[in-house]
Amino acid sequence: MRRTFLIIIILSMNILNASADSQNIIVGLDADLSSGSAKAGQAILRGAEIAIDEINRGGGLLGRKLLLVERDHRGNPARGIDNINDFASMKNLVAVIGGLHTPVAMAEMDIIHEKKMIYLCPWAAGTPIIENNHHPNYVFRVSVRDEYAGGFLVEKLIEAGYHNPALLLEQTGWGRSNLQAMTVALKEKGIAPTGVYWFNWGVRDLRNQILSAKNAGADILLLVANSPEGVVAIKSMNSLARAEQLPILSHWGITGGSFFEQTRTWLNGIRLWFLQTYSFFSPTSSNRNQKVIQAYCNKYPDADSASDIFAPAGTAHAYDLVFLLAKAIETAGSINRETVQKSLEKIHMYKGLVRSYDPPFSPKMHDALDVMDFKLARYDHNGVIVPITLDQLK
Amino acid sequence: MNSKHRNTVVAAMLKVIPLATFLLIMIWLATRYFALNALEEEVSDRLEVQTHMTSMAMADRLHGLIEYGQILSHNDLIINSLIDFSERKNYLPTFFQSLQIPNAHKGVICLLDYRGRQIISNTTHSHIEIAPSKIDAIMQGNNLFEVIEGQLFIAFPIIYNNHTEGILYFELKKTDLKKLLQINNQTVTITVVLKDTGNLTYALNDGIYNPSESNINTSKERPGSDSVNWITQSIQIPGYPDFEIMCSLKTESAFSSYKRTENFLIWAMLLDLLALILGIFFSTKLTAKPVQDFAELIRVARMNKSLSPILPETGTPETASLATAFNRLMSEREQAREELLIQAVESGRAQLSAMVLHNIGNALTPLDPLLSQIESIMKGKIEIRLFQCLEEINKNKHCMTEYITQDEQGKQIYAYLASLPEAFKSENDRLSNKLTEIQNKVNHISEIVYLHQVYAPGNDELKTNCNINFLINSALQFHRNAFENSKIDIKTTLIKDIPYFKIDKNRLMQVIFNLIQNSYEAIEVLKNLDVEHRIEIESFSSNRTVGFKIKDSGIGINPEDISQVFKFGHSKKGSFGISLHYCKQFVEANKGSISLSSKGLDTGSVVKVEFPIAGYNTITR
Repeated sequence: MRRTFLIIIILSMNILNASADSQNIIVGLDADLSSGSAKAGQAILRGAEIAIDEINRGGGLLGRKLLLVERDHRGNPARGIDNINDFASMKNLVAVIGGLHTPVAMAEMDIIHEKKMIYLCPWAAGTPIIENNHHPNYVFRVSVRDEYAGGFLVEKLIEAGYHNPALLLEQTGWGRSNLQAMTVALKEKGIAPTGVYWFNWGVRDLRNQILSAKNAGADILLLVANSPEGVVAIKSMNSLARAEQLPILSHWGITGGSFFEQTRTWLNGIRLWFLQTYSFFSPTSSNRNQKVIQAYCNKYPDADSASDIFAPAGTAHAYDLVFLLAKAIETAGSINRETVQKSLEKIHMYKGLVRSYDPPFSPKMHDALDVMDFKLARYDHNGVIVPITLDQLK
Repeated sequence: MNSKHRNTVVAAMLKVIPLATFLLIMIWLATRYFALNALEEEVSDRLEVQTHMTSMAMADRLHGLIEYGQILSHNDLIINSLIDFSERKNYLPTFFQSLQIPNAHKGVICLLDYRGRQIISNTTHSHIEIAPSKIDAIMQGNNLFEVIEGQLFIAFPIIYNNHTEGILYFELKKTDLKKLLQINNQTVTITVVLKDTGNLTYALNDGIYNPSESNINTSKERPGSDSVNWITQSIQIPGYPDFEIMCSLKTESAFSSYKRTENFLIWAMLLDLLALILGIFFSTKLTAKPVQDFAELIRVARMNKSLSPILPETGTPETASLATAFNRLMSEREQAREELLIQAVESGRAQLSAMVLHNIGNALTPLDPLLSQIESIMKGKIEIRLFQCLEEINKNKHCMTEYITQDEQGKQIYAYLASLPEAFKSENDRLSNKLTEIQNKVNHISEIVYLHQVYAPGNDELKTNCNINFLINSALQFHRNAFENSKIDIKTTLIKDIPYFKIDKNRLMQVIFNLIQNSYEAIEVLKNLDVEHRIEIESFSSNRTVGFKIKDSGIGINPEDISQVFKFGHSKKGSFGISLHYCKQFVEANKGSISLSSKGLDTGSVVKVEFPIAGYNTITR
């Protein structure tokens, strides 16, 4: 009798939980959680989780809890498309947070819009991700835009005294996006790249490209690579004679994986700087910054301080995107994706972690960040990404 | 060639040729056996090496295929194309169209995504589908290598950052697989067995066949067919358990060199046989006639009862040579026999002389005491007493009367003198007896000397009429003292009216003497034993024979030694072993027979001598 009663209680609780799950507002996460840029995916995951926890602690949205469902695309567009299809079949799914990489996001564009999936992009800089020619545009980004990044990096290298950059680009949509942005930016400065050198994912040696750039008269490399290929670039550079080496000004893709861990023995001799947006060491909103650091350290045992927050831009961007989505849902009063998409475009003002978004998006502009949010950074000797000044670039 | 010669030739051939043929066949079979075994071993070794080399070559081809696939699967352009989703259409087709599988140029190379969906292929018409279970295995990082219905399928995981993100897929149809595994080997026929269905599928240099297809049944030269003998060896291609190759050698080609050798061997043996036949024919022809001539001479000599035939040294040189050699041999044999006989006679004489001297010694031995007795008789008491009496008488010659009548001693002298005649008579009788004894001994000595003189064999054989009983008695006479001294009981049974026969009695006496002496010595060995010592001698005769038998109770002879006792030099008594040999020589020379029998040691022996009296020895009564 007593046992029967217990079984009834347990079954009732499961049914109630199931009912609660079915009422949760689902936010999908389609990111590289295990491959070459897994740290970026994990950073996005943690930023989203902290934000969702914070929202759920505050009572959720529309009286419902937010629930994060993860899918790992490993940087493989085919997996990403399958993930989007999978998310599309989920009831109560309001949006998908994507992350690394531009090729994945670009491959998903058609299905995203076909399924009217709101795609929140915290980390993929390809300009075509936003400029995707879909109307309405379901993609919203709090991240770097290559168009801006190219201009920023060119601006900085010229300010630092470099005038003959060579472009070392991965042969993907992201590389091509940066080729466009950087050549335009250089052209605006009256400079043409000394050379444009391509490489594939999975490349094992980049010495030929580096030497070619050097021989072509390059005084700095503008690198567009993710972590695995970034490691190859550093390794290749390190294997060259000092006179043959070039300083590297990199896009931020290299910070998405275990780049520092794999290159720390070679980094001392190589001048490397890269693009970053947010740094927990130079916050725009100290209160929110501290609050997020605190929540981060509370939730993840491997973190004790801001120094332990890896790939910080991914965390910060995802954190802000979740709150922007929450604001849009509240404004829309619905989780209908078409309604929420419109609501996102109509958010007037939001004080986020990365910046105060005023407004974050508009029907014509789905990129929430601009060049003002960019900064240069480097790895300190502990692998912590720290901002640098222009002087340090020289 | 007369019929005898022809028969000899035929007989020799019948004896030699089958044996020679048999031996040649055995040599041929043994040579064939060992040569074939060695050749088969060599061919097997060669096949093993070829099979191993072929399997290694095929393994290299397959390794090359695998290596090519692995290189492609690690190619950064292919990896990149999995990522560069939107733009790969601009470069991937050109790249894939340039791809060709080594040694199988028409093989399909296909790029699939992580779920096995085809992205691109090097041919436009291919459409690849892989079962989900196999995709799962590939996505775990495993190569897929399978053969289905004669087609080879290989899939390689495309791994990026330790994760499988796509699949590179090779498909080789039967013809492609055939080209891939085509190994040019002039030595062996290569068959590739694919175990995909459990059935044997094989290639016979010009392709891979499925046993279910008809062409395998129409191949007249396929391994195992009845029309051609093959030796085969199977081996798994190292590293590829689905592939087993079977290399085959036609035994005809492998053994063709041996067949030439074998033909040569057979012809050589046939020529050997022919040479042997001719050799036997001519050699037999050459030797048969002299041999037959010689045999004929011997036969004629035997018909003439010539114990020492002298063959005519005529005819062919070979016959003359054989006859000369034979005559020389017979001459030497006769000379040796005569020398032996002389030795035996001399020995017999010595024995007889020794016996005579022994008997004379025996006779003389008692003479000395007899003479001593006579001397003592002659120097006896009578003479002493007489001298004493004479001395007493001389002392009392002046008073002789008184002395004789009154003196006591004088009274005895008279009595003594009165008894002298009787005493002299007694002495004379004793002397007479002793002298008689001496006379007897001297007579015995004379008799012995006489017998010795009578029966001492001379150098020349002299045949006279002879009564064997007399000879036996005379021989016993020689041994009389010896028998008495040894207390041997002699029993003679000599038949009356035994026929005389012509023989050298002195030499026969020597024979009888030797045989009795032999019995005596056989008993002497046992003289310390308490057994009966007896010699029985009997004579016998029939219409055709006369002889005697001597039976003794001596030590006897082992039955196995009986055949040896008449051989020259055989003796167990320390003698020269001549006497019995001489006896046999003499008896057989006179056409007689001599035999000795014994039931064994300590059972005595019987010797029997018998001479023919018809034809050879003249009978005279």
